[in-house]
Amino acid sequence: MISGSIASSQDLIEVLSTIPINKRGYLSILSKTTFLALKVENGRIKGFYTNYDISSSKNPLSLLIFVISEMLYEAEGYFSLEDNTAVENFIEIDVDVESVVIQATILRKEIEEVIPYIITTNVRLSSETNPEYDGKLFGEILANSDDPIEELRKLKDLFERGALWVKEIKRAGNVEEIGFDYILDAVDASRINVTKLIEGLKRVNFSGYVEIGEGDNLIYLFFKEGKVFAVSPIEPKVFDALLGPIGSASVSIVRLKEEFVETFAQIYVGRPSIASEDKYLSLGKLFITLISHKEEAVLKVVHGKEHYVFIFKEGRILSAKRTNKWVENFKVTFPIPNFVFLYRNIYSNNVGYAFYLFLLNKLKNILVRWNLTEELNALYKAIAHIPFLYIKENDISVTRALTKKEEKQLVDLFVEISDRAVERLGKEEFEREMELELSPYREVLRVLDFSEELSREYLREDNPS
Amino acid sequence: MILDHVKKQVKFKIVYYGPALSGKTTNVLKIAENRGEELLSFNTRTERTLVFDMTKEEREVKGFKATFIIYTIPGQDIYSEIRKMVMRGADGVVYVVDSAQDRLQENKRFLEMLSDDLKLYGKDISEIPIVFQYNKRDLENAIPLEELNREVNIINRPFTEAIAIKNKGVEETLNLIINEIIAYFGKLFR
Repeated sequence: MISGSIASSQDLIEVLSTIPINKRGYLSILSKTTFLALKVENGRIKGFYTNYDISSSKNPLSLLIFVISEMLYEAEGYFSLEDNTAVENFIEIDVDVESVVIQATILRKEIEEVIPYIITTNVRLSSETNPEYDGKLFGEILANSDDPIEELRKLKDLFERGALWVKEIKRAGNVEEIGFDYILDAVDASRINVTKLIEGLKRVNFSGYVEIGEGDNLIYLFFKEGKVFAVSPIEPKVFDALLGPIGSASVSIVRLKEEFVETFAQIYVGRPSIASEDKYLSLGKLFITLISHKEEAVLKVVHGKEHYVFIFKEGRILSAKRTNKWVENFKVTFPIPNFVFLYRNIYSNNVGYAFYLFLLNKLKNILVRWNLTEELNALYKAIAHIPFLYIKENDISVTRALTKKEEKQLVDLFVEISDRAVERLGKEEFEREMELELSPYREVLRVLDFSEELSREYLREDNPS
Repeated sequence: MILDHVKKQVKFKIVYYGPALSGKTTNVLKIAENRGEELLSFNTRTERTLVFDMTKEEREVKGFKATFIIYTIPGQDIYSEIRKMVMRGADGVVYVVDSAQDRLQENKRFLEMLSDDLKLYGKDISEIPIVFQYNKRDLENAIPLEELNREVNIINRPFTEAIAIKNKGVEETLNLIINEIIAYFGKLFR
């Protein structure tokens, strides 16, 4: 396997025109959001696949030349040559690699000459004199032509004569957005009533997140269609923070596309399947593998104070970058990583066990207040035995995001200890004590409405997992 | 050079280099015509970049079967990236000189560019096989041979005279560069 990074168009040309010579295998190239897999055999391309969104081409060679010419614009990304690939649906072709690269380079060069007329290649054209181009996308015209270079020269001539012009600028099909929309950006928290805010967001079926806090002490509430499905961090203090503003805390409300909110939440509440320093893994190889396998995954890359998120979905990439706030990373710049976190099993719903963890802490308070030593010891013994539980600043906390099985373990512990407390205190007293513990949070818990979470499947006796 | 140790084959890349419209394309077209074969052609703005794969013409170098692939570079400056790309892996260069009086400076400038392009791939103009072809010798204002050798062929390499459009000197130039390549690489195969 040969792999590496691409930092410029010249690098891409080097990769394309040197690696396939005398070799057989699958050359995968990712540049920005465009992915191209080539089946190569001794200097010839025998097939290709691309995620570049363009309507089916009558001429696969023209499509390939056009896609490479697009990749040559500000090329940046990764490549790998391997014996096998997970990529399917290769378009068969049999052409000399070098000739394709030469033609793509000529095309790129000449596309740059028409850029003053079109601004970007993602445009729909309009013409009164040439109906064959009217309403067509620039890329589609070239990719479906017999000879994209000759076709481009015809277009250029028409642009120069004013017979062809841009009808609309389109966003490229393979460029999508996560949809970051800062409704409130770092507003002084003392001006915000958090419970009213949550109620308002529920009412409008909000999807996105609320960020409350200051500096590194930030808490997050994630919403999907008006329902809170995740909180971060999973600590009892989250509920305290919702009671009122702390110090000079601020509040931000960020809307996200509904389809990506759970995926994005992973980087705050997920359990990474890989968490590594960059020196132990190849980021480029990871990118190409995730795209080739069309995996659904989220990659968080940390570089100093910058955070990058890459969402992989059906062979596409979406990306955002955060320094002070999240912004879309449309052009997909690839960071030099310090740390890499990969989340593969998208499971973001944590409010159920976050709430039980909160209740377990309240239960502990009751045990301490009533001096129920035996039950308290049983609780501490269980905490010592359960790997994901620990005591932090006198609070019972979790060391990581929990699996469904671990969630059940936590709930079972709460049920077991509370049953023992009920036995000692009597049901009425226990309920009164719990009521006392929860009374400051009544409003917050009412608006958060965890009734659904409290009746989740893992609470049922007949469901063991 | 593409070397296949198992099949005992080697493929050499010859590049026809020189200013725009000096006759590089004409040379390669004639080579293909003389063999009745087709070539690959990529149209840049005013001239074509040609690729001719001479797979049928084999030579032997130290037990290896040698074939040749011929490329022309686009002479216009705007295609410098393609020129550099074509120069990658060049094993020998035919430097096609335009004999016209008014193109002397351009002939000299392109030789400097050739030196720079070779350096990109770790090659030295003083080492790689190069043949100078003084083309368009039928021009009335053709620069005298001695002057071309003095002003352009400053690295003192073998040269030929040609009128490529009339197919004169085309094959001689090709044979000369092939022999130069075989002699040069023959030493490496020892």
